[in-house]
Amino acid sequence: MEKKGQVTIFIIVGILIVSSIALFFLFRGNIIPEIGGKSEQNPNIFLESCIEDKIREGIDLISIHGGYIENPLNIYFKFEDENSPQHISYLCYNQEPYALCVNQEPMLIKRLEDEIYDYISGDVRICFDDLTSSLEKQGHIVDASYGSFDVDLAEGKVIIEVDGEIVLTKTGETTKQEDFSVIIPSKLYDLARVVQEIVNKEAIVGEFGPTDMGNYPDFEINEHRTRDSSVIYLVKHKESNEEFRFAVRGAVIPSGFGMGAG
Amino acid sequence: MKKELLFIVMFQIFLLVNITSANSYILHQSDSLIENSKIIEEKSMVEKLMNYGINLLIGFLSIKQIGIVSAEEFWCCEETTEGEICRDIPVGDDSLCKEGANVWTDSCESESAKDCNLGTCVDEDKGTCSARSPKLKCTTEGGTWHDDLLEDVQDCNRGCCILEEGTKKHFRTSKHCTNEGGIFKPEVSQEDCVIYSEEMGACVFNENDCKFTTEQDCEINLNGDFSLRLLCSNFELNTNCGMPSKDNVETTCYNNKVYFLDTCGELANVYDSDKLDEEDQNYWDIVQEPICNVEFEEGKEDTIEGCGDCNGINSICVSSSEAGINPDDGDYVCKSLDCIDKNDDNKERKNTEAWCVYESYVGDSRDVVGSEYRVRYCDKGEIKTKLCENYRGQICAEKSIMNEGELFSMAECRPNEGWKCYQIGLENYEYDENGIIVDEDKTEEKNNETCGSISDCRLHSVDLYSAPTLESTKNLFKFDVCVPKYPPGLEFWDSASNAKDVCNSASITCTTIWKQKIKGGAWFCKGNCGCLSKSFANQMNSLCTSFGDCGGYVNVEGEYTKNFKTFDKDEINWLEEGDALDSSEHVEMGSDANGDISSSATYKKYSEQIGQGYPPEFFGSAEGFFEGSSLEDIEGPEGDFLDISRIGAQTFGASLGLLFDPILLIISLIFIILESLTETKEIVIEFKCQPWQAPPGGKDCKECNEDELRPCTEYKCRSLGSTCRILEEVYESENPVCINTHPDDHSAPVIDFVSIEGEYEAHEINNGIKINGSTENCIQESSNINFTLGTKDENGDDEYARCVYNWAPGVDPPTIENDYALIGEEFNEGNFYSTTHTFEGKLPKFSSDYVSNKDEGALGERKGELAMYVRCMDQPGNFNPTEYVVNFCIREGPDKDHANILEFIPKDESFLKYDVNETDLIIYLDEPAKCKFSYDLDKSYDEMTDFLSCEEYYVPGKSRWMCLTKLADLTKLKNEIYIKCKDQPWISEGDYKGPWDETDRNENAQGFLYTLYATENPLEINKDSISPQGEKIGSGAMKISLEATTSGGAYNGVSICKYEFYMESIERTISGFFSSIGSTHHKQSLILPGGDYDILITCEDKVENNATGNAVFNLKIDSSPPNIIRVYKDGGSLKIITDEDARCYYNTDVKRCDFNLEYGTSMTTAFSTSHTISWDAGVTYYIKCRDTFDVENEGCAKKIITST
Repeated sequence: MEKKGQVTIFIIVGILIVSSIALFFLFRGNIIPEIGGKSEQNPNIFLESCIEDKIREGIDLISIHGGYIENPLNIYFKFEDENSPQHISYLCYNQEPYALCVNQEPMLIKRLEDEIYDYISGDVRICFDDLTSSLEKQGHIVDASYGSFDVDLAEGKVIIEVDGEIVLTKTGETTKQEDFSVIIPSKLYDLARVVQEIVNKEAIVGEFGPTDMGNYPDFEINEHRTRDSSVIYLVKHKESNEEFRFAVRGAVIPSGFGMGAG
Repeated sequence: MKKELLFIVMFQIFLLVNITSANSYILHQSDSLIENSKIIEEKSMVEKLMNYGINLLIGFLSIKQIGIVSAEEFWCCEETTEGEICRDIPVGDDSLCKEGANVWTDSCESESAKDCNLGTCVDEDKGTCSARSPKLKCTTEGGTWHDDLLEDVQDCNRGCCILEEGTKKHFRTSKHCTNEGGIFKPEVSQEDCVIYSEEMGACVFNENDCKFTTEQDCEINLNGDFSLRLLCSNFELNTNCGMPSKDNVETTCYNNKVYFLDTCGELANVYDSDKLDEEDQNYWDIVQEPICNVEFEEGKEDTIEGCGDCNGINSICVSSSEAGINPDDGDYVCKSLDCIDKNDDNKERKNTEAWCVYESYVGDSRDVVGSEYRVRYCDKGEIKTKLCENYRGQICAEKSIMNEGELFSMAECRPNEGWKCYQIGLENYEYDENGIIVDEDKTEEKNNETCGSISDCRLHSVDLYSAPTLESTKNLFKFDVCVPKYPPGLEFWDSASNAKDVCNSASITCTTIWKQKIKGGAWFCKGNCGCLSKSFANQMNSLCTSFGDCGGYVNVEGEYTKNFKTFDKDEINWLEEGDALDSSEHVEMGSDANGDISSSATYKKYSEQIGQGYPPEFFGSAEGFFEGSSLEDIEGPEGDFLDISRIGAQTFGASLGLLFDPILLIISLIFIILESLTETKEIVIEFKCQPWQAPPGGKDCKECNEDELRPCTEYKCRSLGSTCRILEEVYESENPVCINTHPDDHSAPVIDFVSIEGEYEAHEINNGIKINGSTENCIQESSNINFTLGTKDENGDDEYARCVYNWAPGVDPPTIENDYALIGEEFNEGNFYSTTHTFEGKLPKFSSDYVSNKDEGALGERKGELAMYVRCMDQPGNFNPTEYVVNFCIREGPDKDHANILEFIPKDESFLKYDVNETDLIIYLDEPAKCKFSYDLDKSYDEMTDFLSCEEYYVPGKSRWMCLTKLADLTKLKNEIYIKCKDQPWISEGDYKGPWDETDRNENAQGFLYTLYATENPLEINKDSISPQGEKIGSGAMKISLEATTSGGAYNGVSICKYEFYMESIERTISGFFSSIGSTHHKQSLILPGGDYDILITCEDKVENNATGNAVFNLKIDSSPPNIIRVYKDGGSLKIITDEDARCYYNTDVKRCDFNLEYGTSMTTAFSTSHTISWDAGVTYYIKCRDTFDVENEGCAKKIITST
């Protein structure tokens, strides 16, 4: 009889101890509640999934148009495997015969960053707002402020740094997170660097030849000369298949050496 | 393998340095000048008679373009409406500029347009550099702008950047490397900027963990024990890593090879499928060279599958999926980067190998119309084609070198330097008083040497000389022309292009002399009869085609069209049956002097002998060391290209600065002409060189699309047929398609009347028009008429056609036998296709045989009928079989207007060359006349001196007549010459039977004033201004600025200068023009290796005043870094002395010698030989220095340990 009672007490005490431990870990203040629900482990991932398609869309558009969404200085050109022509921007240009081209976009990488910025700016704000809404739906009291964002092209990636702050309160616990970032794998930066080298060569000596191409083993570079002696370049990163197109016009030798009344 | 790599690297650097794409982008087709023609002064009556026999090679007057008086002025627009940044715009034309954009009233290179000055833009954040960047654009976007060339900006120097304790190496700019905190090694090439596994080793840490890495990484980051060249799988090291089992092999790509990974995933040796057994443990212990070989020949696939030793040049490591090959182990395999050329019998080509693709015979001025140059190259396993500049503006140059027993081909597009040929001045052939040519061989040799100094030029001789005899002056017709070996292509279909000017430069007039043996008898040719011959036409056409797409020549399909005009018997309408030429070699009277040049067979072969001939030399006449390749200083074409007056019966391409010295000869033959009292006549024979036109129709358009090796271009498409066009017009495309735009057009063009100028009216009649005066029916003879016809298709839409007219009906229409030639005189549009056809010229005289139904009225008042018969041919080749007729009633009447001078050559108020007091003068009149000149104002016409020769022959349709003479005794500073002309010279001739007499001839009583100025001072190069002189020291290939200042001459020193010197090391003469044009300060950047130089500088102004000077200097190359020659303690300081001026840096904490100088502490603020730092006892100083030529110590200059 006594033994049974002891066992019972031990069991009860054991249950109590285990429950206490569980409750302790459950309710201690350092636990950060999950934000965003099941599919978003953290706000960066939520933002990334929200904005990624738009960023990629922007990168593609900018890349096939020579670094701009829209640019008046362009040539209308159709590649054979495409159904329609595209406007391709001149990155180095001179209309005069025999004159080397003038670099039209010396800060090319900054230009690309600005173009992406313009393309996604509305969507970044929307995604941020969606993030806060999502958190609210999960029962948090959300105090969010959105500042702005930056686009940074780096080797192998595009980084979107969002200047914002989210303060979450739930069951008396408050957490704060600020400065979110989205990282999209992309070779745009790497392509841009090669493009700048090609443009430099064209600007300095008026030619980018087969020998020069050997310096870029990771890239496939194709060129096409048009009737008006513009050159369309197509630079492709071999591994990722990402490509960048642009046009150059300079050091043109006109028909008949340009001599005579014309 | 390393040696091969090194060779390829050095070779590629050599190419980069030596291939001068743009060295010859020096364009100065500026004003032209006539050289002195050689006119022998009259001596006797005989000579006077023979004056008529002057051989007027008007088209060939030597016109050297040697500079411009004033540069064309520009404004600078910050941004155009099209979005172009910093563009020079014509003065005042700011409508091209975007609203709100800055406009400067000076060019974009000027001081005032600073914001548009070009320099180097550095993105400080990303470490990138951009050349030729406008300042404002750079700074506005956050960049740092340098007023320097890219290679002069230190931040932009490229080199190897060592990162993360040597575990990463990237080839990038100095700035980028600094941003990343790396160590920058500018001396390391891109190919060597890799981490070789020999530099790495096993780093054992945490007892048994291992990483294959660099010593620095092991020491600093892992705190492990490093064993150089040992692998983590080394048995002795007893690590957790080992050789994988055969069924669990992993590989990776590293330095373009396939490498094993050990069981820890660390790099081992190059993959070799035979090294996976226990007895191969050694292969897993230490770094070693692989013994397997990869071979890509057929049947050797197992070597690819089992070996990862790709060489990095012709093969690289790729994934098996990309290669389409499954290796024996792992997922990576070597893939060949070489190519197989299916278009050349499956010839093997190495990666980066390049070769030329031609479309016709090349060189010898025989490139066919529509042909262009291409480079084909092997690019990482794929053969690609690159079109050189359109219209043969670039040509393809190729050479082969031996590389380990195999030929390796190199090719590049380089500028066609043919335009330089026009700058060459050649010697004239000299004749003695009897007309015998003297020193012929010497002159030819000299001309060959002069012309041949430009590699893209060749000497073309026209030789119709035969010695005069007692009977005849024969031909004194020999001259040399320096022409392009690879003539430029032209937009021959476009009348607004320069095609007409270029081709017209090879037009020529030649005056033949005719005499009657007895008065009233038959006419015989006595002088320059060679101009009537087939040989003349043949030789002239050969010259014509050398200028570009001109003359009778073929396209790529071998289709020939004529495109020139020569002697036509019908022009000599006063010759009767039975009149003959005095030599059987002359063309038959009933034909024109086409000879066998009208046969396509003569030229067809050039379209078939693809690539044969004389391919371009690899280097142009200027060398790759020269910074003419950097065009930053070079200005484009300036000045008025057509400053020179028009010459000859045709527009002379003055801007071409052509061509050869005139051979104006008055043959002062002392021979007895028994018939001295008989009449002589001169007939001016004209060879008119015209732009090439495509054959009618479009049967060959599709040929443009058939050749995958030579994709279609607009130029080639247009050359295949008159109706061939590139399909799309709105946009450019990768593979343009050439189509026949009028495949079903079989209707002749409909000719109609468009307009007429002046007081005339036109009335339509059946298949023609009748033109009357507004006040009366008939038009006075010799009137100038200007009317325009149009051509339309059957729908009434404008249709492009070529039209000709004749004053007699029944001329043969175009046929296959006459190569579809339209026979007749051309309208103003020449041989271009046009929708309008304008006649502007004089109608035939009443006395002409073309005027019919002459009435019997009073002399001087008679009337007759004149008809012009017009035939047109459209682009598909349809022509009107029945000629369209323009009818006139012609009335005899007096000419009441005196002749007017339309043009002077040299121009009025020109300068004479210094110390020269004579010159030739050509004037153009609006009607035939005899002219005289005097240096005195008061002289009457009869008292003045005759012009040596005038075109006195009336030709209907012609609008300009030439007179030529020589002016002497021009000794004043300002020489005034008065010219008077009397028209209608035929009235004074013995056989004139018309109603007018001497009193009806009109003379300009006032006299035309013509002024020539003397050059007061010779052109000089200021000796003190020539630089460099003496000794210069630099490192590597040095950039020097060749400079000289000119003064004097006709234009206060404004001139064009040229440099020339011989480079022994390459056994070539290097020459080029200074980049500054139209100025007195001449500057040219050159990049030269070390050595002694004696550069000849030659300057010439517009009137050929010239001056020479020499820049004599020695370039000494300092390639050694500074050495520390003394170290000592001086009080509380440590002092070091270097053997040359240097900046020295030290570090005490990094504790090694390969630190980046930027991270060291500077010992001096400026370059010096003396360097001081404070003395700290017991410290080890690692010291490195860099001299003024940027040469720095590779390791430490010195490692100094101070005593305690």
